[in-house]
Amino acid sequence: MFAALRRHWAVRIVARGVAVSFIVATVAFSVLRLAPGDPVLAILSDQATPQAIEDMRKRLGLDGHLLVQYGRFLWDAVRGDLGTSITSGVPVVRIIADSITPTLTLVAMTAVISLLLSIPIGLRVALVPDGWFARVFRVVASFALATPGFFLGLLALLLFSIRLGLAPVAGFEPGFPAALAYVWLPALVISAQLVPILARVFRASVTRTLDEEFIEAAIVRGVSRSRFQWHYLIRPSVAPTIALLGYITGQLLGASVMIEMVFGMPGIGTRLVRAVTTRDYPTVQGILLIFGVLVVLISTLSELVIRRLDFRVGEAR
Amino acid sequence: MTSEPRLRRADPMFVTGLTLLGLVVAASLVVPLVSPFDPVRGTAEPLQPPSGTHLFGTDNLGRDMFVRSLAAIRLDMTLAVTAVGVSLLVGTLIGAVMGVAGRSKLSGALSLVVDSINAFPFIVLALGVVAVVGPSPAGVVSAIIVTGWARYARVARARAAVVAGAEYVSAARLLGYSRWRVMTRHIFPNVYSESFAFALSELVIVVLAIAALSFLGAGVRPPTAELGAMISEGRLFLSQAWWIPIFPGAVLALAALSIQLIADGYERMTRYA
Repeated sequence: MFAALRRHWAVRIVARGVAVSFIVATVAFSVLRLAPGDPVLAILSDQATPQAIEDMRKRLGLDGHLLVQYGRFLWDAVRGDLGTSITSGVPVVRIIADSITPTLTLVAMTAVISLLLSIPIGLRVALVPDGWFARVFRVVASFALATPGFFLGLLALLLFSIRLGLAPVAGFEPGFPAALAYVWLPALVISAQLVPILARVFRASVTRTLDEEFIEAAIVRGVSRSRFQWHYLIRPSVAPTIALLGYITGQLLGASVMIEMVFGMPGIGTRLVRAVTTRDYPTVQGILLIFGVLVVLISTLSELVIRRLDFRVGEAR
Repeated sequence: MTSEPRLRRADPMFVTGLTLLGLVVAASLVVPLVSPFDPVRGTAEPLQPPSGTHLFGTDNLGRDMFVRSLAAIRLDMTLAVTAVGVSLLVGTLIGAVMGVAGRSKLSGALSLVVDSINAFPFIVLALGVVAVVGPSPAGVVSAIIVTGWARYARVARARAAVVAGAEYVSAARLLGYSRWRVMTRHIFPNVYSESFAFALSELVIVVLAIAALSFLGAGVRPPTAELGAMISEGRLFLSQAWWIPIFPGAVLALAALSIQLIADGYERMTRYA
Protein backbone atom coordinates (compact mmCIF):
# COMPACT_ATOMS: atom_id res chain seq x y z
CA MET A 1 0.00 0.00 0.00
CA PHE A 2 2.82 2.41 0.89
CA ALA A 3 4.70 1.61 -2.28
CA ALA A 4 1.65 2.56 -4.32
CA LEU A 5 1.35 5.77 -2.33
CA ARG A 6 4.96 6.69 -3.00
CA ARG A 7 4.41 6.39 -6.72
CA HIS A 8 1.33 8.61 -6.65
CA TRP A 9 1.98 11.97 -8.33
CA ALA A 10 0.45 14.00 -5.51
CA VAL A 11 2.74 12.42 -2.91
CA ARG A 12 5.79 13.12 -5.05
CA ILE A 13 4.84 16.77 -5.50
CA VAL A 14 4.24 17.24 -1.76
CA ALA A 15 7.53 15.50 -0.87
CA ARG A 16 9.45 17.84 -3.14
CA GLY A 17 7.71 20.82 -1.54
CA VAL A 18 8.88 19.67 1.91
CA ALA A 19 12.46 19.28 0.65
CA VAL A 20 12.49 22.76 -0.89
CA SER A 21 11.15 24.20 2.39
CA PHE A 22 14.36 23.07 4.08
CA ILE A 23 16.48 24.86 1.48
CA VAL A 24 14.37 27.98 1.96
CA ALA A 25 14.92 27.72 5.73
CA THR A 26 18.65 27.59 5.04
CA VAL A 27 18.50 30.89 3.16
CA ALA A 28 16.55 32.53 6.00
CA PHE A 29 19.21 31.23 8.39
CA SER A 30 22.08 32.45 6.21
CA VAL A 31 20.93 36.05 5.73
CA LEU A 32 21.81 37.10 9.28
CA ARG A 33 25.09 35.17 9.24
CA LEU A 34 26.42 35.84 5.77
CA ALA A 35 25.33 39.44 5.18
CA PRO A 36 28.18 41.90 5.68
CA GLY A 37 28.24 43.41 9.19
CA ASP A 38 27.81 41.97 12.69
CA PRO A 39 24.21 41.97 13.98
CA VAL A 40 25.34 41.96 17.61
CA LEU A 41 27.47 45.08 17.24
CA ALA A 42 24.65 46.71 15.28
CA ILE A 43 22.23 46.28 18.21
CA LEU A 44 24.60 47.15 21.04
CA SER A 45 26.54 50.38 21.35
CA ASP A 46 30.30 50.66 20.98
CA GLN A 47 30.72 50.76 24.76
CA ALA A 48 29.06 47.37 25.36
CA THR A 49 31.02 45.09 27.72
CA PRO A 50 32.33 41.76 26.38
CA GLN A 51 29.83 40.08 28.74
CA ALA A 52 26.89 41.99 27.20
CA ILE A 53 28.10 41.10 23.70
CA GLU A 54 28.34 37.43 24.68
CA ASP A 55 24.82 37.48 26.17
CA MET A 56 23.31 39.09 23.07
CA ARG A 57 25.11 36.57 20.85
CA LYS A 58 23.48 33.79 22.87
CA ARG A 59 20.05 35.42 22.71
CA LEU A 60 20.24 35.67 18.93
CA GLY A 61 21.42 32.06 18.63
CA LEU A 62 24.69 33.30 17.14
CA ASP A 63 26.98 31.48 19.62
CA GLY A 64 28.89 28.31 18.87
CA HIS A 65 29.96 26.74 15.59
CA LEU A 66 27.96 27.64 12.48
CA LEU A 67 26.86 24.03 11.97
CA VAL A 68 25.71 23.80 15.59
CA GLN A 69 23.72 27.02 15.13
CA TYR A 70 22.20 25.62 11.95
CA GLY A 71 21.18 22.36 13.57
CA ARG A 72 19.64 24.19 16.51
CA PHE A 73 17.77 26.57 14.19
CA LEU A 74 16.30 23.77 12.07
CA TRP A 75 15.35 21.64 15.08
CA ASP A 76 13.66 24.59 16.80
CA ALA A 77 11.88 25.62 13.59
CA VAL A 78 10.50 22.12 13.06
CA ARG A 79 9.15 22.14 16.62
CA GLY A 80 7.53 25.50 15.90
CA ASP A 81 9.97 27.67 17.86
CA LEU A 82 11.35 30.63 15.92
CA GLY A 83 12.89 32.46 18.88
CA THR A 84 11.65 35.56 20.67
CA SER A 85 11.57 39.16 19.54
CA ILE A 86 14.39 41.30 20.97
CA THR A 87 12.26 44.43 21.11
CA SER A 88 9.06 43.04 22.63
CA GLY A 89 10.06 39.69 24.15
CA VAL A 90 7.09 38.02 22.42
CA PRO A 91 7.70 34.65 20.71
CA VAL A 92 8.14 35.17 16.96
CA VAL A 93 5.60 32.43 16.22
CA ARG A 94 3.05 34.42 18.22
CA ILE A 95 3.86 37.60 16.22
CA ILE A 96 3.40 35.74 12.96
CA ALA A 97 0.15 34.08 14.10
CA ASP A 98 -1.25 37.45 15.15
CA SER A 99 -0.46 39.18 11.87
CA ILE A 100 -0.91 36.51 9.21
CA THR A 101 -4.70 36.79 8.81
CA PRO A 102 -4.73 40.19 7.06
CA THR A 103 -1.86 39.13 4.79
CA LEU A 104 -3.42 35.83 3.77
CA THR A 105 -6.80 37.49 3.20
CA LEU A 106 -5.12 40.09 1.01
CA VAL A 107 -3.11 37.51 -0.95
CA ALA A 108 -6.13 35.23 -1.48
CA MET A 109 -8.35 38.12 -2.57
CA THR A 110 -5.64 39.32 -4.97
CA ALA A 111 -5.24 35.86 -6.48
CA VAL A 112 -9.02 35.58 -7.05
CA ILE A 113 -9.33 39.07 -8.56
CA SER A 114 -6.31 38.66 -10.84
CA LEU A 115 -7.41 35.28 -12.18
CA LEU A 116 -10.98 36.49 -12.75
CA LEU A 117 -9.67 39.52 -14.66
CA SER A 118 -6.78 37.99 -16.60
CA ILE A 119 -8.68 35.01 -18.04
CA PRO A 120 -11.32 37.02 -19.96
CA ILE A 121 -8.76 39.71 -20.90
CA GLY A 122 -6.23 37.15 -22.13
CA LEU A 123 -8.95 35.28 -24.05
CA ARG A 124 -10.15 38.42 -25.79
CA VAL A 125 -6.60 39.51 -26.72
CA ALA A 126 -5.78 36.02 -28.04
CA LEU A 127 -8.96 35.75 -30.14
CA VAL A 128 -8.74 39.30 -31.58
CA PRO A 129 -4.99 40.10 -31.40
CA ASP A 130 -5.14 43.29 -33.49
CA GLY A 131 -8.37 44.79 -32.15
CA TRP A 132 -8.75 48.03 -30.20
CA PHE A 133 -9.03 46.05 -26.97
CA ALA A 134 -5.62 44.41 -27.42
CA ARG A 135 -4.03 47.79 -28.15
CA VAL A 136 -5.56 49.47 -25.12
CA PHE A 137 -4.50 46.51 -22.99
CA ARG A 138 -0.87 46.80 -24.12
CA VAL A 139 -0.67 50.54 -23.32
CA VAL A 140 -2.40 50.21 -19.94
CA ALA A 141 -0.17 47.23 -19.12
CA SER A 142 3.10 49.10 -19.69
CA PHE A 143 1.90 52.02 -17.57
CA ALA A 144 0.75 49.73 -14.77
CA LEU A 145 4.05 47.84 -14.73
CA ALA A 146 6.16 51.01 -14.69
CA THR A 147 4.27 52.65 -11.83
CA PRO A 148 5.70 51.75 -8.42
CA GLY A 149 3.16 49.63 -6.53
CA PHE A 150 3.28 51.72 -3.37
CA PHE A 151 2.65 54.86 -5.40
CA LEU A 152 -0.29 53.27 -7.20
CA GLY A 153 -1.61 52.35 -3.75
CA LEU A 154 -1.24 55.94 -2.60
CA LEU A 155 -3.15 57.22 -5.64
CA ALA A 156 -5.92 54.67 -5.00
CA LEU A 157 -6.04 55.68 -1.34
CA LEU A 158 -6.34 59.35 -2.31
CA LEU A 159 -9.08 58.72 -4.88
CA PHE A 160 -11.22 55.93 -3.37
CA SER A 161 -10.72 56.36 0.37
CA ILE A 162 -10.11 60.07 0.93
CA ARG A 163 -12.02 61.68 -1.96
CA LEU A 164 -14.84 59.19 -2.60
CA GLY A 165 -15.01 57.50 0.82
CA LEU A 166 -15.58 54.07 -0.75
CA ALA A 167 -13.04 52.26 1.44
CA PRO A 168 -11.60 52.70 4.94
CA VAL A 169 -8.37 54.74 5.07
CA ALA A 170 -6.44 52.27 7.23
CA GLY A 171 -6.72 49.14 9.34
CA PHE A 172 -8.18 45.66 9.16
CA GLU A 173 -10.99 43.67 10.75
CA PRO A 174 -11.06 39.88 10.68
CA GLY A 175 -14.21 37.94 9.80
CA PHE A 176 -15.90 37.23 6.50
CA PRO A 177 -17.88 40.26 5.38
CA ALA A 178 -15.96 42.80 7.49
CA ALA A 179 -12.53 41.92 6.07
CA LEU A 180 -13.66 42.44 2.46
CA ALA A 181 -14.24 46.17 3.03
CA TYR A 182 -10.60 46.61 4.05
CA VAL A 183 -9.08 44.27 1.52
CA TRP A 184 -10.78 44.95 -1.83
CA LEU A 185 -8.90 48.15 -2.65
CA PRO A 186 -5.36 46.96 -1.78
CA ALA A 187 -6.08 43.69 -3.60
CA LEU A 188 -7.19 45.64 -6.67
CA VAL A 189 -3.97 47.69 -6.56
CA ILE A 190 -1.76 44.59 -6.50
CA SER A 191 -3.94 43.03 -9.24
CA ALA A 192 -3.33 46.06 -11.46
CA GLN A 193 0.30 44.97 -11.66
CA LEU A 194 -0.36 41.23 -11.70
CA VAL A 195 -3.09 41.10 -14.37
CA PRO A 196 -0.84 42.40 -17.20
CA ILE A 197 1.64 39.58 -16.55
CA LEU A 198 -0.93 36.82 -16.06
CA ALA A 199 -3.10 37.93 -19.00
CA ARG A 200 -0.06 37.89 -21.28
CA VAL A 201 0.81 34.34 -20.27
CA PHE A 202 -2.81 33.22 -20.65
CA ARG A 203 -3.00 34.86 -24.09
CA ALA A 204 0.15 33.06 -25.26
CA SER A 205 -1.23 29.81 -23.91
CA VAL A 206 -4.62 30.22 -25.65
CA THR A 207 -2.81 31.04 -28.89
CA ARG A 208 -0.92 27.76 -28.59
CA THR A 209 -4.09 25.83 -27.71
CA LEU A 210 -5.82 27.23 -30.81
CA ASP A 211 -3.30 25.31 -32.94
CA GLU A 212 -4.24 21.97 -31.38
CA GLU A 213 -6.10 19.38 -33.45
CA PHE A 214 -8.91 18.97 -30.95
CA ILE A 215 -9.87 22.62 -31.52
CA GLU A 216 -10.40 22.02 -35.22
CA ALA A 217 -12.26 18.82 -34.45
CA ALA A 218 -14.55 20.69 -32.05
CA ILE A 219 -15.31 23.38 -34.63
CA VAL A 220 -16.05 20.75 -37.26
CA ARG A 221 -18.33 18.91 -34.83
CA GLY A 222 -20.18 22.17 -34.12
CA VAL A 223 -19.72 22.26 -30.35
CA SER A 224 -21.76 25.00 -28.64
CA ARG A 225 -20.03 28.32 -28.01
CA SER A 226 -19.98 28.17 -24.20
CA ARG A 227 -18.88 24.53 -24.15
CA PHE A 228 -16.18 25.32 -26.73
CA GLN A 229 -14.76 28.24 -24.74
CA TRP A 230 -14.68 26.48 -21.37
CA HIS A 231 -13.83 22.86 -22.27
CA TYR A 232 -11.72 23.36 -25.34
CA LEU A 233 -10.06 26.74 -24.85
CA ILE A 234 -9.91 27.88 -21.22
CA ARG A 235 -9.39 24.61 -19.37
CA PRO A 236 -6.37 23.41 -21.34
CA SER A 237 -4.86 26.92 -21.39
CA VAL A 238 -5.23 27.85 -17.77
CA ALA A 239 -2.43 25.58 -16.49
CA PRO A 240 0.53 27.84 -17.39
CA THR A 241 -1.27 30.78 -15.79
CA ILE A 242 -1.76 28.90 -12.54
CA ALA A 243 1.82 27.63 -12.72
CA LEU A 244 2.93 31.25 -12.99
CA LEU A 245 0.64 32.23 -10.14
CA GLY A 246 2.60 29.87 -7.91
CA TYR A 247 5.81 31.45 -9.14
CA ILE A 248 4.38 34.93 -8.80
CA THR A 249 3.26 34.37 -5.20
CA GLY A 250 6.71 35.56 -4.26
CA GLN A 251 6.22 38.88 -5.98
CA LEU A 252 2.69 39.00 -4.63
CA LEU A 253 3.94 38.61 -1.06
CA GLY A 254 6.62 41.20 -1.75
CA ALA A 255 4.01 43.61 -3.10
CA SER A 256 1.79 42.95 -0.10
CA VAL A 257 4.59 44.13 2.20
CA MET A 258 4.45 47.57 0.58
CA ILE A 259 0.70 47.69 0.11
CA GLU A 260 0.12 46.77 3.76
CA MET A 261 2.30 49.72 4.75
CA VAL A 262 0.38 52.08 2.44
CA PHE A 263 -3.03 50.92 3.65
CA GLY A 264 -1.99 50.64 7.28
CA MET A 265 -2.89 46.95 7.49
CA PRO A 266 -1.48 45.17 10.57
CA GLY A 267 -0.19 42.27 8.49
CA ILE A 268 3.00 40.26 8.43
CA GLY A 269 4.65 42.65 5.95
CA THR A 270 4.14 45.58 8.31
CA ARG A 271 5.70 43.51 11.09
CA LEU A 272 8.66 42.63 8.87
CA VAL A 273 9.33 46.28 8.06
CA ARG A 274 9.08 47.25 11.72
CA ALA A 275 11.45 44.42 12.66
CA VAL A 276 13.93 45.50 9.98
CA THR A 277 13.96 49.14 11.05
CA THR A 278 14.32 48.23 14.75
CA ARG A 279 16.91 45.50 14.01
CA ASP A 280 14.79 42.81 15.64
CA TYR A 281 16.75 39.94 14.07
CA PRO A 282 14.86 36.88 15.37
CA THR A 283 11.62 38.37 14.02
CA VAL A 284 13.23 39.19 10.65
CA GLN A 285 14.59 35.65 10.40
CA GLY A 286 11.26 34.05 11.37
CA ILE A 287 9.23 36.13 8.93
CA LEU A 288 11.71 35.46 6.10
CA LEU A 289 11.27 31.75 6.80
CA ILE A 290 7.48 32.03 6.74
CA PHE A 291 7.51 33.99 3.47
CA GLY A 292 9.76 31.38 1.88
CA VAL A 293 7.63 28.49 3.12
CA LEU A 294 4.46 30.25 1.90
CA VAL A 295 5.94 30.59 -1.60
CA VAL A 296 6.85 26.89 -1.62
CA LEU A 297 3.43 25.94 -0.24
CA ILE A 298 1.52 27.89 -2.87
CA SER A 299 3.64 26.70 -5.78
CA THR A 300 3.17 23.13 -4.55
CA LEU A 301 -0.60 23.66 -4.35
CA SER A 302 -0.71 25.24 -7.81
CA GLU A 303 1.19 22.26 -9.18
CA LEU A 304 -1.43 19.93 -7.69
CA VAL A 305 -4.23 22.00 -9.27
CA ILE A 306 -2.51 21.94 -12.66
CA ARG A 307 -2.31 18.17 -12.60
CA ARG A 308 -6.06 17.99 -12.02
CA LEU A 309 -6.96 20.57 -14.68
CA ASP A 310 -4.81 19.82 -17.68
CA PHE A 311 -4.91 16.27 -18.99
CA ARG A 312 -1.91 16.96 -21.25
CA VAL A 313 0.53 17.48 -18.34
CA GLY A 314 -0.15 13.95 -17.10
CA GLU A 315 0.55 12.42 -20.50
CA ALA A 316 3.84 14.23 -20.85
CA ARG A 317 5.31 12.74 -17.71
CA MET B 1 27.45 49.41 -24.04
CA THR B 2 30.11 49.45 -26.74
CA SER B 3 29.13 49.58 -30.41
CA GLU B 4 26.54 46.97 -31.29
CA PRO B 5 27.04 46.02 -34.94
CA ARG B 6 23.79 44.03 -35.07
CA LEU B 7 21.57 47.02 -34.29
CA ARG B 8 20.62 48.60 -37.58
CA ARG B 9 17.04 49.83 -37.54
CA ALA B 10 16.26 51.85 -34.44
CA ASP B 11 13.06 50.64 -32.78
CA PRO B 12 10.54 53.48 -32.16
CA MET B 13 9.95 52.30 -28.57
CA PHE B 14 13.68 52.27 -27.95
CA VAL B 15 14.10 55.81 -29.33
CA THR B 16 11.13 57.15 -27.35
CA GLY B 17 12.44 55.60 -24.15
CA LEU B 18 15.97 56.84 -24.73
CA THR B 19 14.72 60.38 -25.43
CA LEU B 20 12.52 60.45 -22.33
CA LEU B 21 15.25 59.05 -20.10
CA GLY B 22 17.80 61.40 -21.65
CA LEU B 23 15.57 64.38 -20.82
CA VAL B 24 15.08 63.21 -17.22
CA VAL B 25 18.78 62.53 -16.70
CA ALA B 26 19.85 65.82 -18.34
CA ALA B 27 17.37 67.76 -16.20
CA SER B 28 18.52 65.96 -13.06
CA LEU B 29 22.14 66.90 -13.83
CA VAL B 30 21.55 70.53 -14.84
CA VAL B 31 18.60 71.83 -12.80
CA PRO B 32 20.06 71.31 -9.29
CA LEU B 33 23.18 73.22 -10.44
CA VAL B 34 21.45 76.27 -11.91
CA SER B 35 18.38 76.49 -9.66
CA PRO B 36 18.44 79.06 -6.83
CA PHE B 37 16.83 76.44 -4.54
CA ASP B 38 18.55 73.70 -2.58
CA PRO B 39 17.25 70.09 -2.61
CA VAL B 40 17.90 69.58 1.14
CA ARG B 41 17.68 72.99 2.84
CA GLY B 42 14.30 74.71 2.67
CA THR B 43 14.50 78.43 1.84
CA ALA B 44 11.06 79.10 0.31
CA GLU B 45 7.57 79.55 1.76
CA PRO B 46 6.31 76.09 2.92
CA LEU B 47 3.32 74.19 1.43
CA GLN B 48 2.98 76.31 -1.71
CA PRO B 49 1.00 74.72 -4.56
CA PRO B 50 2.68 74.32 -7.97
CA SER B 51 3.38 77.72 -9.63
CA GLY B 52 5.74 79.37 -12.10
CA THR B 53 8.49 79.75 -9.49
CA HIS B 54 7.97 76.30 -7.96
CA LEU B 55 6.88 73.97 -10.77
CA PHE B 56 6.13 71.11 -8.33
CA GLY B 57 5.26 73.34 -5.35
CA THR B 58 7.08 73.31 -2.02
CA ASP B 59 6.90 70.87 0.89
CA ASN B 60 6.23 71.46 4.59
CA LEU B 61 9.85 72.54 5.12
CA GLY B 62 9.85 75.04 2.25
CA ARG B 63 11.92 72.90 -0.10
CA ASP B 64 11.35 73.29 -3.83
CA MET B 65 9.90 69.92 -4.92
CA PHE B 66 11.09 70.30 -8.53
CA VAL B 67 14.76 70.57 -7.59
CA ARG B 68 14.34 67.98 -4.84
CA SER B 69 12.64 65.44 -7.15
CA LEU B 70 15.34 65.85 -9.79
CA ALA B 71 18.17 65.52 -7.28
CA ALA B 72 16.38 62.41 -6.01
CA ILE B 73 16.04 60.70 -9.39
CA ARG B 74 19.75 61.35 -9.96
CA LEU B 75 20.56 59.49 -6.74
CA ASP B 76 18.09 56.68 -7.51
CA MET B 77 19.47 56.18 -11.01
CA THR B 78 23.08 56.19 -9.78
CA LEU B 79 22.33 53.59 -7.09
CA ALA B 80 20.28 51.43 -9.48
CA VAL B 81 22.90 51.46 -12.24
CA THR B 82 25.63 50.57 -9.72
CA ALA B 83 23.59 47.72 -8.22
CA VAL B 84 22.58 46.32 -11.62
CA GLY B 85 26.11 46.68 -13.00
CA VAL B 86 27.73 44.73 -10.18
CA SER B 87 25.02 42.02 -10.03
CA LEU B 88 25.19 41.67 -13.82
CA LEU B 89 28.96 41.10 -13.74
CA VAL B 90 29.04 38.79 -10.73
CA GLY B 91 25.90 36.86 -11.67
CA THR B 92 26.88 36.41 -15.30
CA LEU B 93 30.37 35.18 -14.39
CA ILE B 94 29.06 32.66 -11.88
CA GLY B 95 26.23 31.60 -14.19
CA ALA B 96 28.58 31.16 -17.14
CA VAL B 97 30.88 28.95 -15.05
CA MET B 98 27.84 26.92 -13.92
CA GLY B 99 26.59 26.48 -17.47
CA VAL B 100 30.00 25.39 -18.78
CA ALA B 101 30.68 23.12 -15.79
CA GLY B 102 27.49 21.22 -16.64
CA ARG B 103 26.64 18.38 -14.30
CA SER B 104 29.59 18.75 -11.93
CA LYS B 105 29.44 18.99 -8.14
CA LEU B 106 30.41 22.68 -8.21
CA SER B 107 27.60 23.46 -10.61
CA GLY B 108 25.11 21.47 -8.52
CA ALA B 109 26.02 23.28 -5.33
CA LEU B 110 25.87 26.70 -6.97
CA SER B 111 22.53 25.84 -8.58
CA LEU B 112 21.09 25.06 -5.17
CA VAL B 113 22.18 28.46 -3.86
CA VAL B 114 20.90 30.29 -6.94
CA ASP B 115 17.51 28.56 -6.98
CA SER B 116 16.87 28.99 -3.28
CA ILE B 117 17.70 32.71 -3.39
CA ASN B 118 15.38 33.07 -6.37
CA ALA B 119 12.59 31.29 -4.49
CA PHE B 120 12.27 34.28 -2.16
CA PRO B 121 10.36 37.46 -2.88
CA PHE B 122 13.10 39.84 -4.06
CA ILE B 123 12.06 42.76 -1.85
CA VAL B 124 11.61 40.56 1.23
CA LEU B 125 15.11 39.10 1.07
CA ALA B 126 16.54 42.57 0.37
CA LEU B 127 14.75 43.81 3.50
CA GLY B 128 16.42 41.02 5.47
CA VAL B 129 19.86 42.08 4.23
CA VAL B 130 19.18 45.74 5.04
CA ALA B 131 18.33 44.64 8.59
CA VAL B 132 21.97 43.60 8.98
CA VAL B 133 23.74 46.13 6.76
CA GLY B 134 21.71 49.10 7.89
CA PRO B 135 19.60 51.63 5.99
CA SER B 136 21.90 53.77 3.83
CA PRO B 137 22.63 54.24 0.11
CA ALA B 138 25.46 51.69 0.35
CA GLY B 139 23.22 49.34 2.36
CA VAL B 140 20.49 49.36 -0.29
CA VAL B 141 22.95 48.75 -3.10
CA SER B 142 24.56 45.82 -1.30
CA ALA B 143 21.15 44.35 -0.39
CA ILE B 144 20.15 44.44 -4.06
CA ILE B 145 23.44 42.90 -5.18
CA VAL B 146 23.27 40.11 -2.57
CA THR B 147 19.73 39.15 -3.64
CA GLY B 148 19.93 40.14 -7.31
CA TRP B 149 23.00 38.33 -8.66
CA ALA B 150 21.21 34.97 -8.56
CA ARG B 151 18.72 36.11 -11.20
CA TYR B 152 21.51 36.92 -13.66
CA ALA B 153 23.20 33.64 -12.79
CA ARG B 154 20.05 31.75 -13.79
CA VAL B 155 19.88 33.53 -17.16
CA ALA B 156 23.60 33.08 -17.83
CA ARG B 157 23.55 29.42 -16.76
CA ALA B 158 20.91 28.56 -19.34
CA ARG B 159 22.64 30.54 -22.08
CA ALA B 160 26.15 29.24 -21.30
CA ALA B 161 24.94 25.65 -21.45
CA VAL B 162 23.75 26.32 -25.01
CA VAL B 163 26.87 28.25 -26.04
CA ALA B 164 29.23 25.65 -24.58
CA GLY B 165 27.75 23.08 -26.94
CA ALA B 166 28.00 25.30 -30.02
CA GLU B 167 30.29 24.33 -32.88
CA TYR B 168 32.50 27.40 -32.73
CA VAL B 169 33.36 26.56 -29.11
CA SER B 170 34.32 23.00 -30.05
CA ALA B 171 36.35 24.47 -32.91
CA ALA B 172 38.20 26.78 -30.50
CA ARG B 173 38.92 23.83 -28.21
CA LEU B 174 40.20 21.74 -31.13
CA LEU B 175 42.50 24.58 -32.11
CA GLY B 176 44.17 23.98 -28.76
CA TYR B 177 43.21 27.25 -27.10
CA SER B 178 43.49 27.27 -23.33
CA ARG B 179 40.37 26.83 -21.18
CA TRP B 180 40.75 30.42 -20.01
CA ARG B 181 40.91 31.75 -23.54
CA VAL B 182 37.87 29.75 -24.68
CA MET B 183 35.97 30.98 -21.64
CA THR B 184 36.85 34.67 -21.93
CA ARG B 185 37.00 35.06 -25.70
CA HIS B 186 34.37 32.65 -26.97
CA ILE B 187 31.84 31.79 -24.28
CA PHE B 188 31.59 34.88 -22.09
CA PRO B 189 30.93 37.44 -24.89
CA ASN B 190 28.11 35.31 -26.25
CA VAL B 191 26.53 34.86 -22.85
CA TYR B 192 26.97 38.50 -21.98
CA SER B 193 24.93 39.91 -24.87
CA GLU B 194 21.79 38.15 -23.68
CA SER B 195 22.46 38.99 -20.03
CA PHE B 196 22.73 42.65 -20.97
CA ALA B 197 19.21 42.65 -22.44
CA PHE B 198 18.00 41.01 -19.23
CA ALA B 199 19.82 43.64 -17.15
CA LEU B 200 17.94 46.42 -18.92
CA SER B 201 14.61 44.92 -17.90
CA GLU B 202 15.98 44.36 -14.39
CA LEU B 203 16.93 48.02 -14.15
CA VAL B 204 13.22 48.93 -14.04
CA ILE B 205 12.64 46.51 -11.17
CA VAL B 206 15.73 47.72 -9.30
CA VAL B 207 14.93 51.44 -9.59
CA LEU B 208 11.47 50.69 -8.21
CA ALA B 209 12.91 48.39 -5.52
CA ILE B 210 15.35 51.04 -4.26
CA ALA B 211 12.52 53.55 -4.02
CA ALA B 212 10.32 50.92 -2.36
CA LEU B 213 12.95 50.07 0.28
CA SER B 214 13.43 53.76 1.01
CA PHE B 215 9.64 54.21 1.14
CA LEU B 216 9.56 51.51 3.83
CA GLY B 217 12.29 53.31 5.80
CA ALA B 218 14.80 50.57 5.00
CA GLY B 219 16.80 52.40 2.36
CA VAL B 220 17.99 55.95 1.87
CA ARG B 221 16.83 58.02 4.86
CA PRO B 222 15.58 61.60 4.88
CA PRO B 223 16.62 64.41 4.62
CA THR B 224 18.61 63.05 1.64
CA ALA B 225 16.59 63.62 -1.53
CA GLU B 226 15.34 60.17 -2.61
CA LEU B 227 12.01 59.56 -4.37
CA GLY B 228 10.68 56.69 -2.23
CA ALA B 229 11.58 58.46 1.01
CA MET B 230 9.98 61.65 -0.31
CA ILE B 231 6.75 59.84 -1.18
CA SER B 232 6.76 58.27 2.28
CA GLU B 233 7.21 61.64 4.01
CA GLY B 234 4.71 63.27 1.68
CA ARG B 235 1.89 60.78 2.20
CA LEU B 236 1.05 62.47 5.48
CA PHE B 237 0.09 65.51 3.39
CA LEU B 238 -1.91 63.56 0.83
CA SER B 239 -5.20 65.30 1.58
CA GLN B 240 -3.91 68.87 2.20
CA ALA B 241 -0.96 69.17 -0.22
CA TRP B 242 -1.27 66.42 -2.84
CA TRP B 243 1.73 67.73 -4.82
CA ILE B 244 4.24 66.68 -2.15
CA PRO B 245 3.85 62.90 -2.71
CA ILE B 246 2.38 62.95 -6.24
CA PHE B 247 5.18 64.68 -8.17
CA PRO B 248 8.03 62.47 -6.88
CA GLY B 249 5.85 59.46 -7.74
CA ALA B 250 5.24 60.79 -11.23
CA VAL B 251 8.97 61.40 -11.79
CA LEU B 252 9.73 57.86 -10.62
CA ALA B 253 7.02 56.39 -12.86
CA LEU B 254 8.29 58.41 -15.85
CA ALA B 255 11.85 57.19 -15.34
CA ALA B 256 10.67 53.58 -14.91
CA LEU B 257 8.45 53.80 -18.00
CA SER B 258 11.28 55.13 -20.16
CA ILE B 259 13.66 52.39 -19.00
CA GLN B 260 10.91 49.84 -19.70
CA LEU B 261 10.52 51.23 -23.24
CA ILE B 262 14.30 51.05 -23.74
CA ALA B 263 14.41 47.47 -22.48
CA ASP B 264 11.45 46.29 -24.60
CA GLY B 265 12.74 48.13 -27.66
CA TYR B 266 16.27 46.76 -27.22
CA GLU B 267 14.95 43.24 -26.95
CA ARG B 268 12.91 43.62 -30.15
CA MET B 269 15.85 45.13 -32.01
CA THR B 270 18.28 42.38 -31.06
CA ARG B 271 15.72 39.66 -31.75
CA TYR B 272 14.79 40.77 -35.27
CA ALA B 273 18.15 42.10 -36.38
